[in-house]
Amino acid sequence: MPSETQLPPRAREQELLRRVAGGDAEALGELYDRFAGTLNALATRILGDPADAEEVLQEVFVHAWRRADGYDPTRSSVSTWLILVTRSRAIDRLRSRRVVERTAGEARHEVDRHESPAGARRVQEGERRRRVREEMSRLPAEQRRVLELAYYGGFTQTEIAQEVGIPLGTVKTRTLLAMRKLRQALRGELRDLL
Amino acid sequence: MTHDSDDELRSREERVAERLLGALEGGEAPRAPARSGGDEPDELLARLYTELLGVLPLALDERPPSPELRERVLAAASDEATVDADGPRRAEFPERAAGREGVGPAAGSPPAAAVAAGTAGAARGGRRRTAPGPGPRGAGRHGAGSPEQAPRRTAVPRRLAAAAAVLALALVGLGVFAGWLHGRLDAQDRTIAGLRASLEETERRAEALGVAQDDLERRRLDLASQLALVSTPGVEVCPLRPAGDPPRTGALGLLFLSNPGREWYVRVARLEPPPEGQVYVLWFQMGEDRYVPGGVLEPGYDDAAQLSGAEMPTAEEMTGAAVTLERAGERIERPDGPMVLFGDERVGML
Repeated sequence: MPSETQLPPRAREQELLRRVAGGDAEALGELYDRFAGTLNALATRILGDPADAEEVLQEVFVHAWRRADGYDPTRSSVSTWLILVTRSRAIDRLRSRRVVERTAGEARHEVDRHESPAGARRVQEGERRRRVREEMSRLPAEQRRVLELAYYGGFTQTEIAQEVGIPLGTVKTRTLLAMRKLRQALRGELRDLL
Repeated sequence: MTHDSDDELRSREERVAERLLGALEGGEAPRAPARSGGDEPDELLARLYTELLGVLPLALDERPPSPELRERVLAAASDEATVDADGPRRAEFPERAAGREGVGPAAGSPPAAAVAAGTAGAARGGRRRTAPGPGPRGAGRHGAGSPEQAPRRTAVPRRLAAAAAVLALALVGLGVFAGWLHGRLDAQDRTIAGLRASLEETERRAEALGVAQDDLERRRLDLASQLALVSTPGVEVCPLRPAGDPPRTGALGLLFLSNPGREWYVRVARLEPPPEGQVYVLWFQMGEDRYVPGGVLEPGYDDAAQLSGAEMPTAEEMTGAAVTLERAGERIERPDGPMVLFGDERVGML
């Protein structure tokens, strides 16, 4: 497929979204094939229930179909846009269900797996996943925990402080330290997405 | 290399990261990065932190959803496209104008239009269902010859007959007006369709310009960071030369490595596009016979390829570098294909 090899991945994704905004259902299918696995993993991680996760996933892609023309490439890459929309929808559903304890329990289980991702399509994508896992595992456990509670659990920093039993200031410090470390360690991968 | 003191950089990072975390806490996607007075470093930091929030889930194993979900998503999109494309109100107008019975007109059309259409048909000798009452001509068709009707007809005052005639004429006029209105609405529909097509074309062109501008900005940021690295005091260079006899490529490369620190940047010029199904992979040689992948090199529009990284993949000392041709789409841990470029020396530049 000449177009796949000529366009860098990021430009390819933006081209897909542009076609979706123009009403191209085939492009929506291709976008789905590219991102469904990652988005479903994220939604399942947050909600703990595959059926709920799939409902969120459907909402996300219908949202993408309706609002592709609202995507701003200066704010984020296409992948980040989809991931953050997925997270937002999943957290909304999680908060309405109020199953905080179950999600916190699953958070501690998920992070320790370091299996190779099934279905990685390119050397670049597989390498990026490996790097993110590697850097996440390098974080001190207490920093990784507060970051995951915030990101996957939808906890506010005040709630994290209560959950973990530490001062609010400590939660903020640990979260910011974790993000700064990851931002520096993954600088190359993040620049690829600019 | 940095323009701010460490403390200033740290406080700016904390400010940007805290703002993004606050947005996440509210359950919403982070809004636009700070564009306060064109504060470029804040914008770049905010964008980097936004992308960081987007790569965190890559640490999870992919989880393909059920096959039915794809069908549901595409069906939902198809349903919406059908509703938008058909415009059911507009599609019904031509049928209504032909005198379909019992169909209420769409909003904005005179309610009597359907009746008038039927009456107009009656005037042409077609339908009789909406005839308002016995008139001079219609009377014969409605059984005027029956003995029971004859005495009443002769007693109907002239004023009633005149009123009936006026009403009939008014209804005919309304029918004519409805026909005219339908014609105007059709013309308006065509104009709207033309304008919509022009708008979509303009939006596509504007989007293309926006994408081009975004690419230029990204290249500018890349060039700025690369320039910063190659001009750092103590930077080392590992030249990459063609491998093979005869050489397998006409390309040449330079790998820059900051020293101290482990930031790296490689640029390969005159790199031909790889054969179909293959990609160029950069390798760092660690020790005698151990290689670590650095990434895929993709020739750009100027036949140059470049990659960069914040640090070397491992803590070991790099003894050389190589570029090989590998099969695309496969996960590989060591070089397997033919070597295209290699470098085995490090030279301090400044």
